[in-house]
Amino acid sequence: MEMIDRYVYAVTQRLPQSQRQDIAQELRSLIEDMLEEKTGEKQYGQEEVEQVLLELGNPAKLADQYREPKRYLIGPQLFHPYISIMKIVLTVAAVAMGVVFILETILDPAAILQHFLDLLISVIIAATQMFAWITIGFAIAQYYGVGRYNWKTAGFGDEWKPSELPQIPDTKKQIKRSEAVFGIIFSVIALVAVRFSNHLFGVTIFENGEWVAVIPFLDTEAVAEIMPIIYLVVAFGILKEAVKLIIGKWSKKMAVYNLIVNGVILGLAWLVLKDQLIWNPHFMQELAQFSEFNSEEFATVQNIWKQSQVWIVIIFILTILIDTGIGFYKAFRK
Amino acid sequence: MSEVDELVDKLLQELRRGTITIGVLSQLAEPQYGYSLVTILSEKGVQVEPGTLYPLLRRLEKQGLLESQWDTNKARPRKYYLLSATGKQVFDQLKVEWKKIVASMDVVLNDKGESTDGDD
Repeated sequence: MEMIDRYVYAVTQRLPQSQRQDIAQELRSLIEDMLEEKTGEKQYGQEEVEQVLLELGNPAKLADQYREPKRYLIGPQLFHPYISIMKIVLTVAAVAMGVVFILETILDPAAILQHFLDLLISVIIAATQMFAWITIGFAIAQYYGVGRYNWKTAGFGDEWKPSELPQIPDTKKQIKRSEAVFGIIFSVIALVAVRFSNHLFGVTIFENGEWVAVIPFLDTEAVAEIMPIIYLVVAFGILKEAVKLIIGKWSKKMAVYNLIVNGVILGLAWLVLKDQLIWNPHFMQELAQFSEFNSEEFATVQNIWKQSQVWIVIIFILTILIDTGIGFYKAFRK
Repeated sequence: MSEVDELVDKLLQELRRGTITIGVLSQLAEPQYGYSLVTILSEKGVQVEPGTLYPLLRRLEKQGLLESQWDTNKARPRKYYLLSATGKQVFDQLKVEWKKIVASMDVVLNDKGESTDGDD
């Protein structure tokens, strides 16, 4: 009977491969038993089959009962932070790219269609990339037992002691949601600034109220080369904030974790910044084309340009050091 | 009134869920296949939905309480389930525990019955 086959298929296709055949066989013989019982003979029609299948219930529900314990890619404990981080990252990225689009359109209104196409492509690429990486990150966390760990401390596991109940976080030690969100926003904006608009991220030249050119701060080719490292830096930055957001309070472990991730970020950033190849080498010449500098002014501007490169590196390193220090300070203060 | 019925229904379902396992174990000193078990249990007044029973049998087998064997000699191949040695032990203990529960529930319910008697 075709309908029985369809029912058995609907149940077993929701089950792991290894159990399918056995369950299918058993289910089929059980259904036939039920039919025989109902009709009292070996002949039965469509109507009886339907009655029996209705009695067995929705195939999805039946499969659910066969499938225990439940397995998750991202379990209920991690689902909420997963969704909130996804929302934050995607929203920030969308806004940042929207801003890039508006800027480009203001600067070059004639090419609005091209800008819009660029926007669409960027949005699709960025959204799929971010979606994939965040999901993979959470799936790994789930697989290595973050979800199960929460189960234990929530008191559902066997091995818990009242004395091990987590402390109610001291308000001084709480990691503010806004702090972590700001970190994520910053990472994403930095990524978008570098990746999608290195030709916009620079000094904008206007002549007679008309936009003429942008002199980029960064060297397009060098950026293209080091892009993978920048992705990694941003990924670690988001990972760091995501964990802060989930754990929600400073502890020794948290401070050490913060130190390690910051160390990795610093190491990666060092690869990018060490020989200063990332900066546009023709910046001064290009700037000079559009400005009438005398040699003294040129020297001053060049000095500022060189100094800013150094200062950006210093500020970056300081920020990381301060961030690490604050972590330890908050973790250890009473 | 239907609200009461609904609640009773829901709670009764929960109540039954716990008893099904012990009911199933009680009937498996002799090998049975899925549908024969449904029939036997319902003859004895224990209502089990087939959709609940079949997955339960597999779960109990996985836990080591039951053993199973395919009988392919008949016109229709059937999977027979039987209590394992562990299953027997577990069932014997469960039986004792169950009787205790029944006894203490009797006490609890009768107490209540006396004090609210006549209050219709």
